[in-house]
Amino acid sequence: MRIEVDQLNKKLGSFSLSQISFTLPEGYICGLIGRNGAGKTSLLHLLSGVYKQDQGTILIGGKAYGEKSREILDEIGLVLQEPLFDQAETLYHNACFYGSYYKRFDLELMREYLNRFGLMEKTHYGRLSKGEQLKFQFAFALSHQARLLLLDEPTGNFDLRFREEFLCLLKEFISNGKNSVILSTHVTGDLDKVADYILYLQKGKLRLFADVETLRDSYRMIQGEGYKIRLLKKDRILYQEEGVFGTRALVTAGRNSHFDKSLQVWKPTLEELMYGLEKGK
Amino acid sequence: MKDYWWDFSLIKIKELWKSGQASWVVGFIIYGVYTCNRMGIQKGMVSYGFGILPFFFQLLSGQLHSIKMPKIFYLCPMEESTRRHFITGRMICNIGIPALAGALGTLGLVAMHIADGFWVLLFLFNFALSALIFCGFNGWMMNEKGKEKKKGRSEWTILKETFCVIICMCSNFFSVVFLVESEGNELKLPWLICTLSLSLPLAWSLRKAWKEEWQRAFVYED
Repeated sequence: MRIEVDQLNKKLGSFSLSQISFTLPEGYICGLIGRNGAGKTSLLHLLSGVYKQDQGTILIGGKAYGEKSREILDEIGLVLQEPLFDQAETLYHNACFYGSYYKRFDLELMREYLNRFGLMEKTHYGRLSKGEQLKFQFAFALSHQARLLLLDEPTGNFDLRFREEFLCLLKEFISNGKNSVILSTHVTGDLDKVADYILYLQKGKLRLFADVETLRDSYRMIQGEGYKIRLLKKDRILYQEEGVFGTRALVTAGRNSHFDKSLQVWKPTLEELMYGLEKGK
Repeated sequence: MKDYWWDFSLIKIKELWKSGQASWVVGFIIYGVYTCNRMGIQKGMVSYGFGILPFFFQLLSGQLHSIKMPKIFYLCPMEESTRRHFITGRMICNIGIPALAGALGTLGLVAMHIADGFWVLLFLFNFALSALIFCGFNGWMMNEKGKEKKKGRSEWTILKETFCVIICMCSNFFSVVFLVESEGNELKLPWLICTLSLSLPLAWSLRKAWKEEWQRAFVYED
């Protein structure tokens, strides 16, 4: 499901999201990253229709909220940090009641996922732990065969074993080439494994949006003697720090970039990239 | 209805007590002791039970129940009319059940020949207004949910609502004693004027805030 956001603005108290524009093609996973308070959750709320934008447009699968809200909501699966479902009811009741409003909800599929995730359908939603609640939200989203998953930092609450399974399920989810995922997370290691695109927010503004390979090709981590790094053009050095084993820096890399042979050069991981961009501002 | 009764869980009540949000219970206990002391245990307990305890239920209900449905309710592809139907039903339960508790309490006073027509009307008015304010809306200041500042729900609005409920409660608290102690009718009219001249203008001034709160319940807003 294609997502097109153009010149999005939203004021939320003293914080505002401003001039957010990006297009996520269908069939890809987009990692949404940024510091606490950067606007990740707010952006997800705008994409899910919880908030209405002050300016700009949001098109989900070519449709805008308003008249087409029900059609859009039918395609979206959510995993949010706050409890989504009715705490007074069992997982089964929640699934049946809210699932009945989705065109493609499959109760048997729901039961399979509950079983797979180690959840009992007769448990009350309010009695689940945080991680279990998120698992249920995820199971529900997969059961109504959403075409777009909006996931707000779920992996931090999952145990290690389930996190691996979760990432596998995301890859399965997009394997048909039509479904899309926006995954907000601080665990950049997970994004290294699954993300195709990165959307980086900083203080409510879009710092960068690019596919992962292009992003990693555009930068290099270098480590070595400080004076050799300082020989590079200043505008290429985004960030550098002195360490015990020499100086480490994040630099831009072009097609004809050459580095001193004594320097260690490698493509940065997302964590190194985000750390460098954040520090370098 | 099922949601309404499930929210009366012991766990939630314990949490309220631990967080100090149910300390008003102490006031009820003190007043109960006072009433029994003034009126004799039997009559005191009956008057107190019917004339005051429904407030206890309303205060507890107001802190445990919210109009707002879970978030998925607003995010699932539901017809707008269906959504409104559910919210309306929830509102009716949240206000209607506590108000019914008040009405039953008042009828109890009538059945025990303690209250006559005048006091019945005053008690019903007080219980109904208290149920509407305390149980009917999300942003009640004593409720954890009410600590969130809502757009359009200023601190002045919350203050007016608080005063309104306090007046209703005080009116009943004193009326329970007057029921027995005032042999003549001389206190009825002044007391009625006193109560209504305070609570009615306050209630009238809050109608815009209540309408906005009602409308806000139909859409999800953080």
